[in-house]
Amino acid sequence: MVLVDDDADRAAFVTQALRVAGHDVVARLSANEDLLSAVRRLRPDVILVDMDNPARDVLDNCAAVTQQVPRPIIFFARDADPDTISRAVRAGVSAYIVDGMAAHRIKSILDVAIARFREHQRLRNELDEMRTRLADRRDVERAKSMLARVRRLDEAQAYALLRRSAMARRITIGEAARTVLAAAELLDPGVGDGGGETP
Amino acid sequence: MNLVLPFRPEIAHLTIGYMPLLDSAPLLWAAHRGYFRAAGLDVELVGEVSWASLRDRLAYGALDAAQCLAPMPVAATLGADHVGVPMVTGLCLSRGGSAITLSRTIADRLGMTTGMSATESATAVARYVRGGACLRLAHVFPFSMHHYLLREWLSRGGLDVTGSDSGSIEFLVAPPPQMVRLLESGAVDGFCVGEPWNTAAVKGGLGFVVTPTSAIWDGGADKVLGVTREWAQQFPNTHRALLAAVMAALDELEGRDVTSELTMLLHHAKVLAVPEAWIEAVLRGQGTGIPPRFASGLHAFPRRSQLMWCALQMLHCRQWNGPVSLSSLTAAVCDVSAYCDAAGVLGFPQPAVDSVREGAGLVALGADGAAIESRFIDGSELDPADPAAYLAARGWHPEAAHSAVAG
Repeated sequence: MVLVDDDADRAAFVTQALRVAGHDVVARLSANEDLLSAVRRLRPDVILVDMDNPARDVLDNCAAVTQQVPRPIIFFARDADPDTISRAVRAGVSAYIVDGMAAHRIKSILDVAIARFREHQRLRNELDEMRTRLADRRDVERAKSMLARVRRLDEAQAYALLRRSAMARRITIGEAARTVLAAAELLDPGVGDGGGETP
Repeated sequence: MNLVLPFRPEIAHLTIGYMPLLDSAPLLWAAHRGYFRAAGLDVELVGEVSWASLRDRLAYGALDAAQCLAPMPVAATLGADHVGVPMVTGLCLSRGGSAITLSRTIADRLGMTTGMSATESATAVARYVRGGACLRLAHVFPFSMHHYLLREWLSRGGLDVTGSDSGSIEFLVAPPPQMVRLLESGAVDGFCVGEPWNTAAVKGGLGFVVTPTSAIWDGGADKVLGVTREWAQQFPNTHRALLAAVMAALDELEGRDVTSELTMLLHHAKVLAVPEAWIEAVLRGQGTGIPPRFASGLHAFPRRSQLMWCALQMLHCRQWNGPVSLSSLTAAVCDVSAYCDAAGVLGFPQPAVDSVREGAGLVALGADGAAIESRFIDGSELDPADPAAYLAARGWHPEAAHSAVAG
């Protein structure tokens, strides 16, 4: 089995799970390599590929021009269960499989890959969310102290004002804070300096 | 433009996929000008990085509609793409816009000069490979006009790239943004790709533009708006509203000079990682730029004879080993009624026929007698009533040609 993924972190994550499930991952390739030669050399039964990798079209061409590779490789498999394919596509993983491979083996490999791609996405979302939350807290602090200074409010009043503005415009308080800071920067480059540089 | 439409979309929220290329402009423009909203649609545009992933997401329902290479819905309905989820199209988005570029080194070696015709340059290539040399040529996708027109160009020089000369030319697929780098590293000797990558190769002193593909077939559709057949049957009114919104955008892109605004839009949408000035130069056709021509008026109608040409190419380069009923295939792919309904409510021209004799020059298509242009470089014609003759003219045994397109 060959994995085509430029995200080394995710590739390691997927490879490990596939190995635990008893599948042999012979190589990880990235978009910038000569994929056609690698596929010819390694003759994998299965190529798993990240759907957001620009090399997808190169692999699709291998599948279309079957005489270029020693064995006919097809997108997923003629007898693969459409539900599994649909889940894989939504998870962002795609596969090329040697014609004639047993359906239960295909399903087992895809199930592992789908689960790992989803899990990786979930972890990444959590990380992004945490970063946003940290950024929000920092920006809200800065906007609050700036409002307090300019409008002569105490911190609690400044916070309430910010929250009302966010609710009225149906945006998050972090977004409201960034809008205030950006506007302040535009009006007077000195005003927003209270807590460091504006975003 | 005020879109007051008689269509009540069955679903309003649509996810539409596009490839970040200059000719994704009709979709971006429709969103920018509010035409989707005016048509009662809430559209989310999603940029994809490969045609294969765009197709898979469309086929398996992660996208409602997508900008497709014109041969893609044909390949999907035929099953030649190994996915085999039938697709339809009711609208062309663009025509032309791509070009064939050779590396400076090869072009010099072949004695190519500006002003050489596509036939002359193909003849020079034929002479070169018959002398024992090999060429590696890249295109963008197996089911693309780029691929087929590259082959048509080579055959113009007398090369039989599916037969006796198949060992001399190697066809590869590469993502468009990588083309110039591959030319620089010597991994490919030339390519057929949309702009601005031809311009980029010339500006970098690496490439020589041999011909725009519009010289090989003037009149072929390049991109179309594709949906699955199942989706089109399930949501006929949504499909019509979507077509009308994009048609309004196409009409504006071709009808008015919006180049500056469009350049800014494409630049800000981060569609292409090239300088803004290049985008503008290409859109204006300046320098070596080959501007995409957006499909407005009758050009927006995806003629069945155009789709038939794509299917014939699939047979000719052995992407599909027949037999194919071309008439039922093209009838299944071309959503004539969706096109006509959408064009009708906008007061845009309606086609009188759904096929023309491709290659016959000025051919009548419109209900009002209006004609469109369709010319092949070799002066040949594709008579939709006799597609076997087209293959026979390309060296097929008449009997093999007849049985390939039987039914």
